[in-house]
Amino acid sequence: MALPKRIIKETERLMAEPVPGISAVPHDDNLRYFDVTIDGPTQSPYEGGTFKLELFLPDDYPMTPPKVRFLTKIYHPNIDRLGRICLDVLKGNWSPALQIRTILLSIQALLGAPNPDDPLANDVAQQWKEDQNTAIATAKEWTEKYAKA
Amino acid sequence: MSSQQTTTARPQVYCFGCQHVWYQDEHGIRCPACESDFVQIIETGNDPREDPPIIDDDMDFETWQNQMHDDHTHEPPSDAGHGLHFAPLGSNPLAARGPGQPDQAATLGSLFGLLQSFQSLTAPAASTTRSYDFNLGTSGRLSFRTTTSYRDGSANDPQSPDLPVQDINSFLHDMFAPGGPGIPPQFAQANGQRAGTTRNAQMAFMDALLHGPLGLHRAGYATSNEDLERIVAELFEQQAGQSGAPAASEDAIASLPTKPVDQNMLGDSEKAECTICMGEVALGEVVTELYCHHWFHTDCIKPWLEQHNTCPHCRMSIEDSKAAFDKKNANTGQNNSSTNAASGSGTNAPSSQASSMPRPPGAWPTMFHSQQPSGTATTRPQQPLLNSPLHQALRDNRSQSNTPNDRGQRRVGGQRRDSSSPLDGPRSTRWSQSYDEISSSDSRSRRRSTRDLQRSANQEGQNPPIHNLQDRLEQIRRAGGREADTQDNVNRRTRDQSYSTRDYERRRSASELNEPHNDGEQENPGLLQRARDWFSGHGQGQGHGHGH
Repeated sequence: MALPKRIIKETERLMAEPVPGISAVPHDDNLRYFDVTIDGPTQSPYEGGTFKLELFLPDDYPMTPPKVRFLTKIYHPNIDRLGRICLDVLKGNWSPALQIRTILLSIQALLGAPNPDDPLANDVAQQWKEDQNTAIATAKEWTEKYAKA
Repeated sequence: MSSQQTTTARPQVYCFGCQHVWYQDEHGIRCPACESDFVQIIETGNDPREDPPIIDDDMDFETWQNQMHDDHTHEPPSDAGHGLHFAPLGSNPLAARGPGQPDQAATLGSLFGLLQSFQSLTAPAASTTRSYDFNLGTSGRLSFRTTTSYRDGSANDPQSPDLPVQDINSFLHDMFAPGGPGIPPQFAQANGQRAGTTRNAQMAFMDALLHGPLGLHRAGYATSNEDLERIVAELFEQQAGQSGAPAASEDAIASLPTKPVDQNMLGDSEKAECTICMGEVALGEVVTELYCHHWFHTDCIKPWLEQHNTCPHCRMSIEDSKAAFDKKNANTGQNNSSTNAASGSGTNAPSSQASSMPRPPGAWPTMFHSQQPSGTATTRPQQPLLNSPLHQALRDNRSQSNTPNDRGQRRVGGQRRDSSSPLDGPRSTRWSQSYDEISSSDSRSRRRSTRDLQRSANQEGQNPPIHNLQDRLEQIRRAGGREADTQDNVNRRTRDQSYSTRDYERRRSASELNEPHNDGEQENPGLLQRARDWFSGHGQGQGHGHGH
């Protein structure tokens, strides 16, 4: 199937005007599959870390959201140990007016603002709520350990 | 060929990696020789040593499916990609774990079998026993037998026996929906269990998933918890894709107005694009405009509305915005009939309230302009403005412009303008936009509470809202034509990156200015707010591309 013009345009713009702290590079053999890195936001426990993700544009994109997953281990109440992300715009709140760029910005923002009240990783969320300092320390530790290759 | 009863007392395990064979109770299911977990428990009739796996990565979905449907009693889905959105998983790199996880194929294969079985199980047939014998390509065969019993249409089963459900989403939905029927009875019967309660049914489902006749374990595939978790996650993701707003009705979609793109929609940059396909639209091209005034290629918006009834930009449901539009039309129709008449057809005659709703990017040429807060076009300012010195200056400016008046642009002006306004007559594009900004700024200032103004000040950073109209006009004038030169660039550069800001701003405006509709706030997931907080805290450099 030919690659829709939208995907080509999005890719071109991502290349031409990259978002600071975010990179998304399509695979040569599959232009729907992107290697993504997101820098941990400053003043968050993820600061200094570079997190790898994978992003896949399904056949019916942009009518359905991209599939995104963290590959780098991360301690975050909205990201589970398989790297899946609990983010409304990746699910029911997806809109075709959103783009790869905006989605990745949202994910970066999620790193800066964890939401333990809407958890995906229950144990992490619980820790986050009960003892935030410890949770943040763990998040920093993981960042140090896994996100600084 | 079922092999469930033929497992030997001491199961042996075969490693596909090094052909090593060992007893499961001695070394488990990880190869003691090569550490591979690409293994299979040897069963009579399903011995991988007799039937060496054929590595066939190219085996496509349809072949696979056709094989599987060979002994199905119901018709296979006509569209391989539709009824069962599973093909992408196999080809979806997200599902792939790379060469480090060779059991992926086995997992996928098992899962695929599962899905197929669900399909058949949710499609009742009179007491049939089906044998499945799947060639799983890289991992040999998966064989199992299921028995399904035809049952009388029970009251709590939404699926008519006449309507085979060929969609795993429906299956999952029915099973896990609160108060739902739980496991389809025939599925539970297949496991010799009664689906007493939903909870039991779910447990039965999980049990069946693990140990049932389709069982991943019994089929002999090394399936870690993680794999299983991923499988279930994938199933739910398939379902999640279906969530969100409900589909719009065919009538609602069919009745949406279309209109040719006019100058006003294109704005200063003289071009705009459909945000769905990102293709440029040309002047005169016919597009579909929702009642919230966001417009898209007809072919682009239709498939979206067929799934979700919301505007991709403001998320307002098209039914709601139409109701608001109709209501407002009815209200203003009496007071302002001449205005409506002047604007021609109803589709092109937004009321003042409707026109205060968000508009698409193309109609917001200066929205994210550094000097100018985004404004929603609302009612025209009153006489004092028209007689102000600046107004005079603007008119001079207009007369200098050679831009021919565009009737489409006047449409917008015409319906808002007092018919006795001295402004009737040709206007340049530039002038028109300035005017819109002025008026919107003014009217919003008047409408907003102090709190809103503060909020707005935060959002607009160093550009606090202008309370005084004269100041505002002064600011615009100072900015002058220089802005227009860079307009296009600025627009293009900030369009994407500031989406969340823009979107939030718009939705806020929509809900603020349209009391009957709170969709914006209601649906606001809080993430955007969080994103805003974050950006305002740390992300000054994030929103604007510095390029490399």
